Amino acid sequence: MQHNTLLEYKRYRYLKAALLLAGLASVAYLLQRPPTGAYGGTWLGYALGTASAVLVVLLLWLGVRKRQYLGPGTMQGWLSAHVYLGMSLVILATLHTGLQFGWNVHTLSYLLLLAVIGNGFYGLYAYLRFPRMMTENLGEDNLDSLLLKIADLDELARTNALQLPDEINQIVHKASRETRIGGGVIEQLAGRQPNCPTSEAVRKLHYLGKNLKGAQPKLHRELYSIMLRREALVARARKDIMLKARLEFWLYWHIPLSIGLLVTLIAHVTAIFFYW
Amino acid sequence: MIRCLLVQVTRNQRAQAIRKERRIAGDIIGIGRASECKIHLLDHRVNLHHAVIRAEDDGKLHIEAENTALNINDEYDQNAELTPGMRILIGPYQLIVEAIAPGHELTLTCELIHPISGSSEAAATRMPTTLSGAGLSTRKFALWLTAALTLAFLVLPIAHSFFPALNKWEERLPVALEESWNAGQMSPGHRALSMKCETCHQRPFTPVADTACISCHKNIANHIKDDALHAKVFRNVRCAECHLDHRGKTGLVRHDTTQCVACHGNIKARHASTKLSNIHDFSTDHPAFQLTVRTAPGDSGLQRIRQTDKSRLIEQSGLKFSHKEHLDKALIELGAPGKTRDIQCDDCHKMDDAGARFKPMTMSMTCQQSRCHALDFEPKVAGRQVPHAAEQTVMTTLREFYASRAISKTYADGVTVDDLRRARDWASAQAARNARLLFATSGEGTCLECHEVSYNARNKEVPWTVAPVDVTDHWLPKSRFPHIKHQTAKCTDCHKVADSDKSTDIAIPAISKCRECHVGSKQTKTQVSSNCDTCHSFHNANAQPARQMAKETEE
Repeated sequence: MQHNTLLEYKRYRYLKAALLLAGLASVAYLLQRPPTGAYGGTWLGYALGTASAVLVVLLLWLGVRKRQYLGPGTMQGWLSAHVYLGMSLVILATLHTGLQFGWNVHTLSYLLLLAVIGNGFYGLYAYLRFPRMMTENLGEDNLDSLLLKIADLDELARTNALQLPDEINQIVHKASRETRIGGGVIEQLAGRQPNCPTSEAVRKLHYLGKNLKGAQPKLHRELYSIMLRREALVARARKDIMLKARLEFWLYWHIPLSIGLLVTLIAHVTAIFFYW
Repeated sequence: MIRCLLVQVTRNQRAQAIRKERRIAGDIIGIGRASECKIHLLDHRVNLHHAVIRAEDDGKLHIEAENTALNINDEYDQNAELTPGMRILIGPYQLIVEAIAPGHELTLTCELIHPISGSSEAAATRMPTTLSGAGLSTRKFALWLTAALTLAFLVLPIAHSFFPALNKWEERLPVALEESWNAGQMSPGHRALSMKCETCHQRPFTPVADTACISCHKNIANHIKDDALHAKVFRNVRCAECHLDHRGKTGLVRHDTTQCVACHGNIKARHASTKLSNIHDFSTDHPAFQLTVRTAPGDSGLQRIRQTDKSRLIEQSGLKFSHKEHLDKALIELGAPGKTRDIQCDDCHKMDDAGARFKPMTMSMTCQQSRCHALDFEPKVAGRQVPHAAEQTVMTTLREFYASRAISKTYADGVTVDDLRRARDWASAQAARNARLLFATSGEGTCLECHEVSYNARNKEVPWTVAPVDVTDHWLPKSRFPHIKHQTAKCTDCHKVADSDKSTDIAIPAISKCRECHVGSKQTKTQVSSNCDTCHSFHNANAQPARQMAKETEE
């Protein structure tokens, strides 16, 4: 599967590289006892800072590489390196700080780095988990076919409800008009609508079935089954939108925060050498 | 029975009306979605039983709403008489009452005026199903974030540096423009400069120059006394290599030994002519202490002698003094007269206000604080003493005293020249006799008890000369030893003076004594770690190896 090859790319080549990098940095940090106390300005501090900055640029370069049809290395290799080297960057950057923090742009860039990487961890989790869930949820369908099926059922339900009492007709009409599939960012991420009119219709239809005359009970039974199917389809469509939103949402943070990190990193380096 | 002509109106593509007539009849005419309704309107916006048309008792036809009020001629009503031209909305349908056709009681046209449009249905279900569809954009977010961060953390701090005119405006802000660049809290002494970066960082992208430090710290001493040598040795060393600021609680001064040992670890290789020893740590190869000792009078008599060079380690202070004798006698009269107690070290050695060393000892404040060393000279006049002062002053005091005595013994009336001559001779003889007793006789209360006195007969006025006293008050002027920090120990733990009966003895403890507690720079749980700067100061070229002369100035 795709995600496995991402993590296992070339027999964990980049996992090994990342572990080696983080291991070397940690050993150097533990062995070195800087007389001034650990901070970014010791020789090891400068070395770790330079390595971290190079890594940040390398990780950001993924954005450039993926827009190129032809470029060095395979896209899968780049992504594998991006994931593992990104993880090692947590250790390198933390050691670079020497755990000296303050209310300044230096600590801000460290926090942004942690935010981007933490966000990336979520992204990795999302990529490993959600696509399979999406496939399981959709089966043979796709979102458009689900929406078409829902529209068909709506038509059936409305026709059916025409011969039924106004109360039933109203809830069916409301279910068809007011059931929201998708919508705003929060609705997409939540994957549910509070007091969903379709579910409400199913619940109400259950006890509105009494006191019907003539052909109405049969119509009601049919309508009930239509609405049950509609409810299931709506849930699947919403789940698909939710999973897709959750699969993508982190990227809407990952990319801008990465760019923000680059800006603060430039400010950090400029500040250090401007006021040497 | 109501007979009604129902004209159903539809429109062709050019919106022209197509009329289709249908006859319906009944006692009442129902309007609604239900199949039993005579006017059957199949739309979910129409109620199952929406309205009904019936004839009233007076024969007039009325329309009556079943549940909700009806929109009749744009007004809402439950019940209305049907009159020609009347418009009634039933859901999406419009019914218009027309002129009665022959053979009918009612003519109605019915037109679907609000058909369900495909697009409005789609709008209900087709909401945004992607995040970008919902308005999220990585690009917009990234642009705004980049703009904000660039302005706050690059443009404004740099502007602060290049446009001093901004400073006035900046003073009104709660946070300084370049504050975000401050890498860490500044040392307490420099904190007032934390908004004035350019005080130290005078040129962009250039390390802080020593000139910036020296512009304030004008009197800072060199490390090496020889200015030329200092300049040569430290030509590539910046102040900031030892004094790192923006380190918060870590402080401005480096206390580690790295920089010191970098030179002093192999100083002989660096400077062949040096008299200094190679040294790496206090606990290992720090040499024995070198004491500043007066070995003879005069400037050349003041020498630096290692404690291992015991044969030369003799102090020639000019004073006769025995610690043993003082401690053995043990009793001192202090406070209330007649009350005595054992003598203690701090009866004589009073710590200075800084708690570092001891106040100079003087005859009046130390030796004469009780009547121990009173300089009485005339037993007949109790308590009459000569001052502890220069020989001439002592002599003058004696002469004046006996002259006064002689005059007071001579009769006031009928004094002859012989009487005066006798009185003068007597006074001179008494003064000379007592001077001899003070200057040239040993015993308690005489000069010889503590001083060396020489005699020169040619000096008729005062033939005795008391040798000057020069007691060392700083044995280790190139280090600091705060006594106040060592009060957990007794004086005699370090200074072995109980058996010292000569003033030439030196009671400064050896380095081995210090090492019982101090272990150099290594960190241990049971002993005190001490770096070079625990005892030594770097900027100590001006430290005076000479010491204050313990001179009395009582006159």
